[in-house]
Amino acid sequence: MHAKEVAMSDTTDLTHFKKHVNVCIGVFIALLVFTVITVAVAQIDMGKSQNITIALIIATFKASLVAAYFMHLNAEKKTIFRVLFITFIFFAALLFITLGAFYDYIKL
Amino acid sequence: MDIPYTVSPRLDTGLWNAKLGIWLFLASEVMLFGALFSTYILLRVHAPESGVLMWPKGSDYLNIPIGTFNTAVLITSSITVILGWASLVMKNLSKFRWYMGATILCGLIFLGIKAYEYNEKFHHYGIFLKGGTVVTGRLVSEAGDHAMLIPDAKGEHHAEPKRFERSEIVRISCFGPKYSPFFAIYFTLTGLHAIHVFGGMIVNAYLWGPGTRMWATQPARFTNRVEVAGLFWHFVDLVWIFLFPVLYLL
Repeated sequence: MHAKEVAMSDTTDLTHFKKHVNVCIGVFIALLVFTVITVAVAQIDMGKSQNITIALIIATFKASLVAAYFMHLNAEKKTIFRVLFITFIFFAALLFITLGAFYDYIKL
Repeated sequence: MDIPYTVSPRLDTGLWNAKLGIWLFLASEVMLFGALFSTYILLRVHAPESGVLMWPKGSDYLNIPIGTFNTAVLITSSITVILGWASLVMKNLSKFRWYMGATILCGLIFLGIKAYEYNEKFHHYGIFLKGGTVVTGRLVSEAGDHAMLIPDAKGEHHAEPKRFERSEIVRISCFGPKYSPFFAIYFTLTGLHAIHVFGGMIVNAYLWGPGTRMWATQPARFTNRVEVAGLFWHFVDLVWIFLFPVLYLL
């Protein structure tokens, strides 16, 4: 959906657009709630790796809400997904290269 | 001559140009912040298990309530930028200016709080001693033969200044980037993020101010400009959603 389509559309499209805006407001409230949950869960000591895992799962969920609804990815064209898929591959490669440092220790 | 495909989509990509352009730019930004996050992982995993350079818990040095509030501020700015764009789609320029103004205000609050946090760090010191320990607190004085520090008082309200002779001191540093690898990556990540917030605010301020001239002649193109600026702003928010738990909570 882009502005020109909505600007020249009929009432049905505007209603649909207003519904999307209301969904975004719901996502905003969810993000605030999950921020509080992140902080609360971090106060519970479950072991370092468990704390890290849970915090990152919540952060990834929040980020996916922002990407899907705020950045409108859930209704975006295939071109964008192709770009982001390539980005994901390169990002994973970047982290993988970093892991290589663990197997090639330089002892000084 | 008009720039083509500012509103109508190209047949090959299915998108108007700025939409594809901003996503390509955001993809490059993912690599930039990704490189720094992988640096964080490397530094943290290789940190010693004990001693003064042991990786600290974020709450040892950073203020969680302030960080939480800053997170809420940035999330709020994301919804206000959406409401601003939605106002333009609904052909309401004055509402757009209210919401974009709120977005800029949230950005200013975020940066103001960040500046306060940084300032607090720059006035907090650690004296590394030869025994392999560190004493942290407020530096009172530093001279050729000694340094005086008011140690951080845990549970006590008042602590007396303590004198340290140069012979027992390895180094003195404020909680700046050079204090430890934790602070080095903290300032690099949050500093780069703050620069992005500032850059986004400049674009938003232009769209709020002189940029609105385009609304009179090309409203759809102006709406699209606001949309792509909003996409950048959401990305900045997204990065902070990861930064906050990683640095402050873990």
